[in-house]
Amino acid sequence: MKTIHNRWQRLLAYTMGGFLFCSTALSLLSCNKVLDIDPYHAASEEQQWNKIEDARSALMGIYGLTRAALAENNRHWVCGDLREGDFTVRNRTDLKAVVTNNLKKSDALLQSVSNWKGFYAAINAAAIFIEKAPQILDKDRSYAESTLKYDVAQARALRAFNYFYMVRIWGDVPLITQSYDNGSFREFGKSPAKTVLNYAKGELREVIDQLPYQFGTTESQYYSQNPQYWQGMLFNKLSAYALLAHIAAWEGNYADVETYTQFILDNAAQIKATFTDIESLTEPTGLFNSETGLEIRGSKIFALNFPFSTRGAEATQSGHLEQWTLAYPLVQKTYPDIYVSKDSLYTIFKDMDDLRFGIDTASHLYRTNYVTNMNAEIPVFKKINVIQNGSSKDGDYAVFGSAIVFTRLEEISLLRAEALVALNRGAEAMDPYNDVRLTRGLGQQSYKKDFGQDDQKLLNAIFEERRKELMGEGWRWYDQIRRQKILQDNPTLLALIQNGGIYWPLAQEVLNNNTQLSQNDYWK
Amino acid sequence: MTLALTGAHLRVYSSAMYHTNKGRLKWASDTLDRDSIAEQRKLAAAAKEMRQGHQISQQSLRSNDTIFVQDLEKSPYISVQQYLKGNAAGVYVQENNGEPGTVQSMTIRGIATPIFSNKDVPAVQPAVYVNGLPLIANHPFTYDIKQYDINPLGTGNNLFAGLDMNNVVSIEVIKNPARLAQLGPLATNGAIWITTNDASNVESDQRISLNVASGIVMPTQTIHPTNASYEWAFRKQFYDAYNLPFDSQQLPTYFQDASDPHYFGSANWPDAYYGMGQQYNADASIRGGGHIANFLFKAGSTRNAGAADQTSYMKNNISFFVNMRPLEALQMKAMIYGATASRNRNRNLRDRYAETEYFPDLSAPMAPNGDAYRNYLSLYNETDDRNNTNYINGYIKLDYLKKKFNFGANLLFDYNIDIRHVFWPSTLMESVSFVSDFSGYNRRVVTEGYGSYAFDLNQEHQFNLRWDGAYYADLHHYNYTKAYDGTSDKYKTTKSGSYKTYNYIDKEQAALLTSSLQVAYQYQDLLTLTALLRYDGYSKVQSDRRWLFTPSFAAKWNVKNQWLRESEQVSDLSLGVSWARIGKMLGYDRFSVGPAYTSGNLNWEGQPAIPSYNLFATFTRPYGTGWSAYDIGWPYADKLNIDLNGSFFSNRLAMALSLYQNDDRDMIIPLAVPQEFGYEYQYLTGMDVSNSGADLTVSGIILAHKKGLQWHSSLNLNYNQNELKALPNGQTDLTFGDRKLQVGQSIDQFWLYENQGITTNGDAQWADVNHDSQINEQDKVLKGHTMPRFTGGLNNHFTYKKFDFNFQLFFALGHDALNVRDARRYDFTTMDGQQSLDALREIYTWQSTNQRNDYPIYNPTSETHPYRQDQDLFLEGLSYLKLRSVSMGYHWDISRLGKKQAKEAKDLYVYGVANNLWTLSSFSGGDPELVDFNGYYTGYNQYLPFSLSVGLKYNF
Repeated sequence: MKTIHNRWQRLLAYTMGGFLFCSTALSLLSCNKVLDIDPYHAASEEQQWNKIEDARSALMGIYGLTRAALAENNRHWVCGDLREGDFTVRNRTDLKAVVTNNLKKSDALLQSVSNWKGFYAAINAAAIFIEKAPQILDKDRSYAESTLKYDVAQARALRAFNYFYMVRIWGDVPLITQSYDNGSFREFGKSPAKTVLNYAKGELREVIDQLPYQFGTTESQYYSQNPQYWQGMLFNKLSAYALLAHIAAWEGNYADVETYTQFILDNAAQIKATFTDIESLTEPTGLFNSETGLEIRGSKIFALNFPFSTRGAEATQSGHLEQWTLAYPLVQKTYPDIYVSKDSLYTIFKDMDDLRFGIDTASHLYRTNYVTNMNAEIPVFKKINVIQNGSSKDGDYAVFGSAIVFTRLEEISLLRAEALVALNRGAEAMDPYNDVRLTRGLGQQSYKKDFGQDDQKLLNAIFEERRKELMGEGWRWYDQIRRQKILQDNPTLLALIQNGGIYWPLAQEVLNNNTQLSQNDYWK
Repeated sequence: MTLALTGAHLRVYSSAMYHTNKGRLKWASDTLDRDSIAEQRKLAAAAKEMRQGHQISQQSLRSNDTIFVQDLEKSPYISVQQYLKGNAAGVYVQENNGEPGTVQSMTIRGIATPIFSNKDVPAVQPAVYVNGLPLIANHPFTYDIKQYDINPLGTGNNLFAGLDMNNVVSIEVIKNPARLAQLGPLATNGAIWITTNDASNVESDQRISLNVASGIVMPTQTIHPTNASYEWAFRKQFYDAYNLPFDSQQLPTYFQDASDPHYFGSANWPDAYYGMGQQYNADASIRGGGHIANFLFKAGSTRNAGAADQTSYMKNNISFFVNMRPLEALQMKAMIYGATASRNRNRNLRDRYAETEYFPDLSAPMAPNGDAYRNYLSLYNETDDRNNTNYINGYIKLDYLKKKFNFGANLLFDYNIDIRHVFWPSTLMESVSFVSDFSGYNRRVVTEGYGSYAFDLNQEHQFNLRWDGAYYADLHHYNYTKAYDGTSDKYKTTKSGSYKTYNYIDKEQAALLTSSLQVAYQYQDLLTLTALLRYDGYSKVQSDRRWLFTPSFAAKWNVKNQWLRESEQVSDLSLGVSWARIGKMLGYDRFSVGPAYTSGNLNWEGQPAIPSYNLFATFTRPYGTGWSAYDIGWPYADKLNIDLNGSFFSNRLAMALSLYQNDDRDMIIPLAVPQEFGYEYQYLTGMDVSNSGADLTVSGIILAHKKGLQWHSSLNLNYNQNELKALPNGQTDLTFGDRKLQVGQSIDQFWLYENQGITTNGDAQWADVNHDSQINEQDKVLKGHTMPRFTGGLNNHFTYKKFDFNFQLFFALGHDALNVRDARRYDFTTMDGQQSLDALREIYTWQSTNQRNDYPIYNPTSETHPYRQDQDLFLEGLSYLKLRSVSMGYHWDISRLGKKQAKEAKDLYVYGVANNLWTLSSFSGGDPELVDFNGYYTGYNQYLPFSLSVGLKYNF
């Protein structure tokens, strides 16, 4: 018995000893392998730039980041529509501060809007793409050189777009043209707005020939999709022209505006852009819908989409004008946060034939294309009204699938009219001006009869037309500035233009982390 | 430290890692320590003695950091944290919610990383071991896809409430550097070492034991409900003070109609919200076998209830232990434990909207009317809110001991599954129904091996060599679906009903390979010296830096044996010192690849992750989370500890004093970067934080009449302070939202404006600290502390004949809270229009219980934002003393009744216990524990209820 015990013991001892030894040896050999675990939710530098899908996901990332920059705290409308604009704020003190230009009020929303980080994320992503995407050519044959060309052109154009957008908000901003993707985080000081815009223009001019009207053909598809699929989605040749036109207009270089807008109007058919009738513009499945129908999607000359899809993928609660403007009976919210008051509506829309806001000749009721709930104290501004994918029946689950439409043909047409007047070609301006009016149920006006050949009057009328046509599309504030630069009839605003008060202050976080920056003079 | 109460403490861990037994050097290898079995038997026996009112053996009164659970078991505590609270020097437990089964925090000797929000809490928690099995904790990566970290995704159950606490024999708090070094990087924040009954350590004559307890919980105080006219009057005073108009323009819609009985009528909601709850515990165990093989089978069921909103927590568990000794030298131990826990959660709007991430119109809050509230609650009949956590864990351990050789191998695993299904009908949220399904699991597999060899040069010089190796594989995985707006409320899952669904899947994986070599030397019974060298590899560290070598050293000198051997007064006296460097675990695996590319960066403030653009997946730099640098290596901690242990007067008085300094170095911290690259932060290593302080435990037998009254008392006390020693790149400060870190200051401070009263036109005045005549961030100062300076507890145990009586006090001193609830209450002009969680009014917001009303009345139209929350106007001291439990028991020795079974020990113990009885504090918000872990008091958490239970323990 004892010997058996001993033998057992020895055997066990040897087995265990052997096990220990083996496991030690094994672990020493294979340690490093065991410890090589790729994170599930992150790709390393080596993993990122290998396949055609990597290029696509990085490119779409730039679009997505641009969208986020405009959508954060509804910046597109805070900066474009609220400031001294036509919207009345019902209750929110932060939005009231924007309307009254009290932008340094201690407030979370104002701080966030005045931080330009979101734009620079898109700019950085674009720079990284431009620098790194070409290496995919060697690694993946299905990534064609022509696709790379399209992609890089879009990245550069989007970067220019972000710079232009920032210059409108902050004036002078740091101009960073490379990715510096090495953790150095160099501090860049501000470059004059002019330099930044020149850079943006230069970039656009360089890529404008590479950008197509339509992406791919049915034979040679762009990222496996037909050209129609991409309409109204990507930055095309005319998007670039439109952006160039707006940069020129912001700089007061109306000669260029005239050239560029002419080009756009002449070639609009190439991207299937047309004027949009009022129903197609304002119905929930209309132009502002991210998944708008094939017939009109080309009319979004440049837009950032939030497709709802069947999966509800990108439609969001914030990042849309509807978040603040819609209310009962369209959504389950008692009152809107902001609205265009009845007084403003009556002042702005003087002609009751206006299809946007006027009186229906048959029913004698107010037209509801722009506004509804006129019989209540607070009307609801519903020009942009895309709940889910626009076909929501009861207005609950109010996530919005509207796109941020930067520009469409009507806007370009009015910009052209503005340019022509500025170039003292008032008579020629009548056509683009009337083109828009006619689609909105208004009568043709004549340079002589209606304006007495007074360019000032005409220009005023053009800006009034922009005010009506582009209400809620993020233009009002910038339009007022351009208008003021030419007409110079409002001393307060003129002073703001001169002392930099039209720009936003820089967020404290921005100032804290870059010693090269100082607060914009007006807000010091 | 309840040790003196029990007087039964046997395992002494001091600075050296081993103790001697019959002249032979023996490792205190906690995974398999044969001696401990005998010790634990003694422990259990002593516990019984104590209950029986016998004289506690003086010999066993020793001072250390082990919690003896006998008195705690009577209270309806379900979690490790609750057992530790106020019971061990250096452990600070914050139970900030009376809702049973929710997450609690415990920290040992301060915090090494700041807590700015709930997701920072896991990083400072200690490791919890059950019989040597290191339990896996929830990973905060689930917060990544959520906008708010109010609750973790999934059940939000406290994982450490899933253990069978009724089977615990002792809980030891390991703080000693050398012992932590032995446990390795998992235990760098300290370790909680739980030892359970496992068949081998139960008294041999005890076959079956039964525990049954039942009790009730009830609200601790009277509620003063309010209605809209109270709120109306509250607001009016601001306008009256400045002769401003006060009409519908200034008022939210629900004030408009003063005849509305829902808002302006009787505020009788409390009857529907608060209420008594029932709770119970029942468990039974059976033990069998003899010396060669034995087993223990145990099953139990526990229910805990909250005193509000019908919250409760329910747990059923079984465990099975087997010990075998097929050979004298070989021992096998195995455990398998299974449990299932479920929770009835609160019905807060905040918690619901944080989950749905969808905001309905908030302009009309819930009305304070009882009937209206009951109507609202009836909508909940349609809901599904199932929260289940299932646990399975266990081990097989083999140990071979022959003469001077000892080796063994262990296989341990811990697996828990977290499943939540929610359906909220459309009637609850603007006709939008909501479904979410979370299914996640945490899995840890550990394989360990060790071998040691002891050799004695002669009687005077003894050596021991030991090698340890282990491989830990961790996996956290989840699958989350949320879905909105089904076609009908009859569809309670996403299978049908055309829900708009969003899916998320993610996992975090880690592997840790450790090995250590230990040399110990003992000279007579006077001096022990130990050195331990570790070499650890970790998958979350970048590949060129993933291996880390760390040493540790310890020495212990027995002063009593050196000089005072003959002394009568001094029973024991020793001095120890130990120092260790130990690697620290990293929270996230994303640092392992440097500056990565990730999806889901297209979101913006207030918008949860969007992974795609135009329905195409995107991959970009992680602008939202931050850039992580390439040279991120192991963070580590240097820990120094000096111990002085003594006991005097034949062990009637015992004391232990530890002085410590923990320097956590090279930790990763997000540093703000120039915003012109799209990132807000970059992650760099180089944050150093030091925690220093002292632990003191004093316990004594104050009265010891053999047949009369006995009184044992024990006090534990910790003083701790932390200091930020360095930030990466030599930076001296760093702001993080509303908080700031500054080198030379503590990491748990608030960053606030200093309120200086009021101007004549009603604006707020703040101190212009830098004298630049404008008030901005530069004028904010660091003030207050979220972590207490002093923590501790006092236990008293009396026995008189067959009766025993016990009460526990605990306290925390020198910490503060920011009363955000009051800030929001006064800042109604800002809150009114906001569509955010901060602006929500819950049903229980309609009360004036526990609130300060002496804030200055500022002009409601002031542009200075006078009631901003980041000012010291809302800073309050939180120091408190609480009477946590009072219990009384009586013991029958039944074996005396029937003479037949006289040899078998049968005993019956009956007891009653009351909990959460009394609080002494100057905090205006009520219970000072209910502050969020980051120091903000928001008023959302439920009161810790007063509870009464009676129970019996029967062994036969």
